[in-house]
Amino acid sequence: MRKRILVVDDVSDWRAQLRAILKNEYEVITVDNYHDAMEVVRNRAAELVIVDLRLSPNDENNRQGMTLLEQLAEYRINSIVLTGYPEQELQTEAEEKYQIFDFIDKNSLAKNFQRLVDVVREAFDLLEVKEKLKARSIQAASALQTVSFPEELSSWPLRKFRKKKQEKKN
Amino acid sequence: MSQITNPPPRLIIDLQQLQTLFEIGKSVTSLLDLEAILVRVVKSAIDMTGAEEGYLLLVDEVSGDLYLRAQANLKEKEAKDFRIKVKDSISGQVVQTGEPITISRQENSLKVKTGFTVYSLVNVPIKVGQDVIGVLGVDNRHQQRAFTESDQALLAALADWAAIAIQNARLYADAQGLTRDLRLVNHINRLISSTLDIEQIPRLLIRHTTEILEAECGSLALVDREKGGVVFQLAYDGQGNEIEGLKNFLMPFGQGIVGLVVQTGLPHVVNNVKTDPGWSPVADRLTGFTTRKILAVPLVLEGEILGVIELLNKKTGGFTENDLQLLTLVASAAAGAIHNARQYAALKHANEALRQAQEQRIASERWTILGKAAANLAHRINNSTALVPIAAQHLGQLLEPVEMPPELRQDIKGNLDRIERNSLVTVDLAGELLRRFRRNPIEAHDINELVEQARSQVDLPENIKLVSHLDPTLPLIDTSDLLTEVFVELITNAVRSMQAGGVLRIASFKSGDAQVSVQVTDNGPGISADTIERIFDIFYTTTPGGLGFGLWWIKTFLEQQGGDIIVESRPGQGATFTVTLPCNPPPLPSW
Repeated sequence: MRKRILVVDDVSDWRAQLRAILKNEYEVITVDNYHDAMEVVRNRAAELVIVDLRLSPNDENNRQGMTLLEQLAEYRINSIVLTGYPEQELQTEAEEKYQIFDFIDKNSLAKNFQRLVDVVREAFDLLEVKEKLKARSIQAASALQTVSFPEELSSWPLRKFRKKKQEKKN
Repeated sequence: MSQITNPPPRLIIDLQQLQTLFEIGKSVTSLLDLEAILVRVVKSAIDMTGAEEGYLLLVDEVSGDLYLRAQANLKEKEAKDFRIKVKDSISGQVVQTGEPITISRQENSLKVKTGFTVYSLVNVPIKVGQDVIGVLGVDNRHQQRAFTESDQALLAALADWAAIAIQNARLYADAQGLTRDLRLVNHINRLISSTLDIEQIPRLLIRHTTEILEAECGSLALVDREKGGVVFQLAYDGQGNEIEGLKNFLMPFGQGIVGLVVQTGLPHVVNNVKTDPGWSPVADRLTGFTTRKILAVPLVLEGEILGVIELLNKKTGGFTENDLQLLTLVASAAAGAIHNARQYAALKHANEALRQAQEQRIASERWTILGKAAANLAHRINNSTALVPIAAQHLGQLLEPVEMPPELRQDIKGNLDRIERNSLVTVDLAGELLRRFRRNPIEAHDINELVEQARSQVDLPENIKLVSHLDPTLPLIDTSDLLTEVFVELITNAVRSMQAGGVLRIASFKSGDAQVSVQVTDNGPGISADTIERIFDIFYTTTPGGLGFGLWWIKTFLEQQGGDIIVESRPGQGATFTVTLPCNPPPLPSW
């Protein structure tokens, strides 16, 4: 199955341009507003989201894009910011609070669009590594369950792992 | 016609007497020197009457006593301190009655004054209108001859001339004084109404008052509470020359006449400093001047004593009541002028502060508006034009695997390159705008650190030598780190101007109480006068492909920080850009 990218941008030419650049390698979904984007996110229909921060001309403080980033962080979906508003404060907030993968300024992209292709590729590579690690740690955990340890040795790492699993379910 | 060969003796005398009277009359109308006239009157009196002694007494307006004004043949001992009470004396009687007295020992034993015994005398009153102002008298002390009625008539005629002369002299003195007073008052009026140079008024007042009141020195001293005394501000001699020696001289409160006047708030007249216990010789020792007479009046403004105006050594006679009144008038004018000058200075100061605040506000508003406009414009460009080079690059990539004649490929590539290159100019402008007008917090910055940062951001070619003098004692400055961009721009420009190599000088230094400066100097080709005039204009550039807003932005940024930039250059001799910033600029506006 092809990897899926969601592009959220209110400017149709940007949506079209990004689709044109990325469509050969990925399945590209494009939406122009926050609500449609959330629909895709809730359906887990994309593994990576490219987010424009100002999602309507009247969103002067770029809060719609930031809110979307917050949601994506909650859904643990990776995001890349691509914006015409490369403000330091926004970048810091996005990076520190929502662990975005990269913050790209549309202006600098104009000099070298290839950068976006590279960043997207890196993001998916990292996702892949993460998935592999996750799979491996699950394997390791279930393998450990079959081994018997003395009580004092076996208790703490397993308990911790189980506890984490429990939290996730809740 | 028959000739008179032997005129009777009596007639000869009369003719001589008439001649004398005529001469005196002439001198009274032609001579202004009262002294000379009165001496002549007395001399004529003894000549014409054949008396031994003659005298002219005048009534002292204050005491009412008679004093000797002119005399002939009196013994020196008697002439000295000659004063007669009006009571109990013959002369006094003449003054009181207004009637002449002719008397001789034949009738009475005469005692004119204690120890002053005569054989005969004539005393006639000197009258101005109905008032008796004095007495003209002659006497015989040894010669036992009585005076005749004719002698008395002659004396009366002489007394009339004397009266006229005295009257003339008084009128003249009054006129002189009046002229002087008018000159002074007129002068003050002119000074006060010509407000052109208000700070000069006290200076001119002192200078001209000293001249007009005929003092040898006139000075103005102002109260300085911090220094605990009165500080001399300016002094003039009677010729209008400034006396520098007295300037800034401090007389402690309560000391000297000046210190006394500011303490009491009352004027002070001393016509002999030796007898005045309040006088201090300190100032004389300093200036080498010899003070004899002093007239000092306080400068009072709205009940507050500001200082003292002091005149020293009136050239003719002592300081009078009239002088005091005039100087008081001058003092009130000076106080008014000082008040005006202070108000004016305060107003000027307030105006200047207002102008600065206004400029600051305008610069700040300009920055806000430009910031908003720049951000908006840049975003629009980023959201539209930034797409063009991306599309061109992508199109180029898409066409690569497509088969086509090399010529067509060449044409397409050329087109795409031009699209990309030219659209990128606009995109770069947007990027610069965003970078230069980005919001940045104001923090305390070490300006040298920002300079160092800027320097490290610019690649210095090998053929450029850097000489840097950064003052390590500079205070921290509240500013945005956008200031780094200022230095980057200036260093980049300097480096660019020295294509053939050269010396780049960077210096930082304190340029005022609460301001610092950074100077970037190159020894490139310099800047022409035409360019200097427009160098800070927006979109003005001499660099091919330059956007033309680097220096304009620097000026705009610095002005809204309360700072400034200036450029100095001569063609062929490089250029120096000096950035100056206050340590505590007003806060950056937010938008």
